[in-house]
Amino acid sequence: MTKKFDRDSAGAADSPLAGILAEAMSRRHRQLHTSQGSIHDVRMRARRITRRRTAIGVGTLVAVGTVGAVAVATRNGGSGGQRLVIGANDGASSAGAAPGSDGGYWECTGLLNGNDELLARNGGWSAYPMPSVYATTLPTVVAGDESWSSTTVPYAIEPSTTAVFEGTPSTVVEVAPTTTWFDATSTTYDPSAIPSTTVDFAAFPSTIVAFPSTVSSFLPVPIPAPDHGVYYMSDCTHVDGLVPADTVTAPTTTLAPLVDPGADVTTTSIVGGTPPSG
Amino acid sequence: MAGRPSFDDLYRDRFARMVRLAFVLVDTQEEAEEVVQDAFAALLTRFRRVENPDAYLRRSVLNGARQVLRRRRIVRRQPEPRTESAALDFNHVLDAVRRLPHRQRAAIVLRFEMQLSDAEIATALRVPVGTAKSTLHRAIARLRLEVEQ
Repeated sequence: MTKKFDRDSAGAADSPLAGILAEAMSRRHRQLHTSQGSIHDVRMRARRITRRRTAIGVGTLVAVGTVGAVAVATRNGGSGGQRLVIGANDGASSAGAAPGSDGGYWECTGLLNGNDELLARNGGWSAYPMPSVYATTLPTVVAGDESWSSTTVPYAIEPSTTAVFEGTPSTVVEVAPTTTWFDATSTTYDPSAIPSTTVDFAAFPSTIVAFPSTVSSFLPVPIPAPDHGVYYMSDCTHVDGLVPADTVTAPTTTLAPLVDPGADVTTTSIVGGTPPSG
Repeated sequence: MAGRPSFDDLYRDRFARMVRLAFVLVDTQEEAEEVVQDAFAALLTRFRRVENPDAYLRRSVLNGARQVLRRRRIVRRQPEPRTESAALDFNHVLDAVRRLPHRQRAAIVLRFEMQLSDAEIATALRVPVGTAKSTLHRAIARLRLEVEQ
């Protein structure tokens, strides 16, 4: 008991008091019927913390251009937030990441799912060349101590697939067979050439408002990463002036249970307008 | 990091210990467990980035306990409640500990309950070692006075 006291300020001179205190605390603790706790409860609390951080968070900006986009990520100095820009055809060194002339770009104000860990492992916030292949298999992420925050919707998924998220509680998402997935590796996102502005989000509930159209979805935006990895951004807005008004339907809002409750997938929007220059 | 325990293992190993720490600070088991659960949740969100989970936990528990006490003072505007089993547990020394200012109280618990060194106490309290020593010294002097009375 007094082992450490001998070398510290309280010192051996306080040993009698140390004994009294130790005995008093020991007696007190004998009346403490401590449970084993609930690690499930801890996980739920952790998720709430992460969601809160995401909600209040951090300004993030993402712009996605046309094929061959290069992700350039930089940290915002001083703001405590993150800014991620993905540009098109403008080289790896372009911090501005101007959008392509006929493509749109994404603006996201949400955290990357699991970004810190992935980014740290891959060298921090720096330029990431677009990989030739995206991860096409559905990751099965167990809600665990470190990995739960990366549980999210895969970027590329085969039609008619059941996505199983082993979260707590686990959730199964049936992906509609008719889903057409926007693939930035081979497709230029051009709403005018695509019959529906909901093409990207067909499997998900959407809100569509007349021009300037706004499409809200829960689809996270994939960000290319080294080693064929993919990050996911949330709270994204796709800005493009080519959204045809006749493809826009009256506002409808549907909220549906979606993916793992722990996944920080939130709102994605398409907004009409002129892309700002980088 | 080699030999680093998983979060689950850490939780199993440290939960009861942290509850004991919180218990002495907030006086009720329910609130102590709440504080500890919150501390573990905070740790879980950044487990891989935290170099010293024990220190992080201790710090979180201390902060959580302080928030509980502050909330109690603000909401109830009355003295801190007696312990849950006050009749059985009346103890002059612990009563004296309870009357200490939060930092002194935390220092006493960290020393005599957690058996931390001055440096570890300083880390937990986020104060210089010298401040930790003087805090402890003042707390002990005050306790000694009360015990001797």
